[in-house]
Amino acid sequence: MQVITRTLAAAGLFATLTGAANAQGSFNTNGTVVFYDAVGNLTLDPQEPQNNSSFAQGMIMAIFDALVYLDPKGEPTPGLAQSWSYNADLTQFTMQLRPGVTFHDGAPFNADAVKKNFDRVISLGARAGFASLETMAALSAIEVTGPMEIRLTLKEPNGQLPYLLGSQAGMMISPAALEGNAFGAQLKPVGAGPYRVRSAESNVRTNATRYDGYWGGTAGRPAALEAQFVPDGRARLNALRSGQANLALIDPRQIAEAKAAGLEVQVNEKNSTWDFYLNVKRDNISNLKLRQAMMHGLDRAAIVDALGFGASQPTAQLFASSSPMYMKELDAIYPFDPAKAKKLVAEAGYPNGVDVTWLLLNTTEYRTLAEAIQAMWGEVGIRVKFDTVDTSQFVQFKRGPRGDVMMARWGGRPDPLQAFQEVAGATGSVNPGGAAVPEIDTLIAKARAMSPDNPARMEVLRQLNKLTTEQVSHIGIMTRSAVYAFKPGCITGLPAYLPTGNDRLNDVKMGASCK
Amino acid sequence: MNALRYLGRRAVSTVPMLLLVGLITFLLIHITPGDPASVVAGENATEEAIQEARRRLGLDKPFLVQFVTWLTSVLSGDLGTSFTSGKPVTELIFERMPITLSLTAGATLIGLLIAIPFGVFAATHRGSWADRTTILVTSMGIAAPEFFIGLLLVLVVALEWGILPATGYTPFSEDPIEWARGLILPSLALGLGIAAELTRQVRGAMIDVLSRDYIQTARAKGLSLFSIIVKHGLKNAAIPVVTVLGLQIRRLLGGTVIVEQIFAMNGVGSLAVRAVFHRDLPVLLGVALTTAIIVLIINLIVDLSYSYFDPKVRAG
Repeated sequence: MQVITRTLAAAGLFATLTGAANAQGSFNTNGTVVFYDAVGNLTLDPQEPQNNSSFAQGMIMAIFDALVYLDPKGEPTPGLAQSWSYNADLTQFTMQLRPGVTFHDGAPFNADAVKKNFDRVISLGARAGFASLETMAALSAIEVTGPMEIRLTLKEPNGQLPYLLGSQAGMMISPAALEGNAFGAQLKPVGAGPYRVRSAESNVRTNATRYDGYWGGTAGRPAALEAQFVPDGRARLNALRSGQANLALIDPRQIAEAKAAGLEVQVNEKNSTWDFYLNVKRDNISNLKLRQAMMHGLDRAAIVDALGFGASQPTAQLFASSSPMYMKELDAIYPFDPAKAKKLVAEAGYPNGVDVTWLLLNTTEYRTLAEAIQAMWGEVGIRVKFDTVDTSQFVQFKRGPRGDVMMARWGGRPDPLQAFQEVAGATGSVNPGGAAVPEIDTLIAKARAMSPDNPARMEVLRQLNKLTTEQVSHIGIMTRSAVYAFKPGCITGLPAYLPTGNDRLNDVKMGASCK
Repeated sequence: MNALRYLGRRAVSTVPMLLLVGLITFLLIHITPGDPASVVAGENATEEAIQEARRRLGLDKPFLVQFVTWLTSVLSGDLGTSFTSGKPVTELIFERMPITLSLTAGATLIGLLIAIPFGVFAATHRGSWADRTTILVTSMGIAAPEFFIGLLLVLVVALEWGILPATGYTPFSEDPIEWARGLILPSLALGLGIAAELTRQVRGAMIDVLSRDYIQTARAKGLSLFSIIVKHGLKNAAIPVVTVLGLQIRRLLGGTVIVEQIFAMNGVGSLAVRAVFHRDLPVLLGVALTTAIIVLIINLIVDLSYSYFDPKVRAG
């Protein structure tokens, strides 16, 4: 049976699948899910910078439960925090913690444990990853107000806390493991998630067993979870075909091969896109007409046809089509129109064409896409010159000295507002030129001062999406997906998880016949 | 006593060689584009975090200071700590060395098991159809890169026939049978190239030896061909073959980098590849130094073997 399941609105699907299978008692709860992944973990410390990458979260989330869960669409729901509330002006955030939760070492989860975790991140300073730092930077005080209640005082009104605590900063580590300022490889990875670590080898494999004391229950969960980092896509698929793995992340180009081998393929579209970051302070890029020409000169459909392999959708935005943030009409603002693009280049003051320097990260994947776009833009008078650098040198763009534009794999953020902050805001980490127009920062500030349950927040975010697309603050190319392969019926419970670059392994299940 | 003095001299002569290896590797890594501090500080790190990582890793110091610090540490037996995993480099290399050594030993064994009988057979049937076929097949074997042979073996033996695993490594202590099964395909991928090269060497050396007067005399005395080959032929043909074998083992160590990727084995080759991507300088330096030591030991063994195979060398 060859089935491609496109998991778009996956929450409902997941509930249906797990519910149905549970009812039939058709899960293998004695087996081990052996997952061959394209990303590894250098350490199992959620606060370690490498683990703040959007693409390194799969096992981390299964080991360390977070205070807040983000549902598959990214909306905050109760996790280790059972409920929370803001004061009227969003300067205090109080959480009621879930009772009866224990860490893998048997230690109770309570407000003291939460405070100890937060204090530890603050004490790490610049050693901690950016996501955790960003969260702690918003706090001015942490107060234990009861055994199971904690209050955070914020430096300024900030409605983003529930999102931020749904990612690394909210991942709770057992207080005993934090003794002695353990960090990175020295940290004993003791969390409160559904899987406890049995052994781990840096950037090679992580073995975890089901935690029978997990507050969320153990029904249907496999006995163990093993993630192996195998960088070569062919080796991952081969391992699956010959039985060393029962779940593998494959390259989109391998979809046809996997199907031909009788495997089931699941495409999880993500809030992760191929995107251009722009330096709007540069003479050429500061010109809106030129930015618009770049948009019109991009044949996204052709790129997706040639390089998407059925796992990408053309988009000018930063969100998956299943995200509440996605606005179909925005993708129609700048259709592929080479004649119009050429006219706009001339109107921008470049009748003989314009040179654009592209800081190109030197990998085959990037280069293939870059050469296609270089040819398209060349047709409309935008002469791209590659300034090729190693991937570790992409800070050269962030700092501003090199590159008018840079293309990268945007990995998504827990809060959609963060996407705009990073890519289009004045202090954005990949936006060296600042906001294209001041209204972007105004809207960002407005949204930040709204709580997630305020319906007006979504309206402001949509305005931001519209404004950043119209003003071409960034140039979206196509969405990215996590593509999984497994033997038919072997794996369920792996819905698309929009807030991070990869998916949660927390609820993955094995079919009864799966080994 | 002479042998001990010889070993002592060789050991001393390796010191400048290892120093040079260390210096060149250090230099190469430093002129390669890429910023280890940015990698360690992580995706989207602030400038402050990158500078803090640079200071913590000692990368803010001048090149020579960094080199001398590393060298001092190496001389005291410490290869340093991995930038990325925070583990001692020696521990990382020792953890993975059994995989790479198993692979190298397996490939060498396969090379010898194929090369000796086929080389001898071709030499004793010189000019025959079998000899020409051997030359043709070995030429193809030499030309075919390890990754090509590896992928072909996986496709046919693991995926089509399903009789051996396509990836992975099981430690001998866990399951000796699975250990052996997991090593067959990668060892073949690495070893077939060596087998081809060695077969030609064995053939050439045996043709030379078999034409010598003492072999003709042995034949005239009525000794069987088997006895002539085993007692007189192979030992006398061994020197050029062992020399090439030594060179091939060095090639094997390089080949493991590719083969470990294809078969998803986490040996020293794979450690080196990841260290390159993460700009993990201490690990790269440790791997380069360890590999250099292994190569020097192999050279020494090859040199010492000459005196076993040829008493004239011993006398000299």
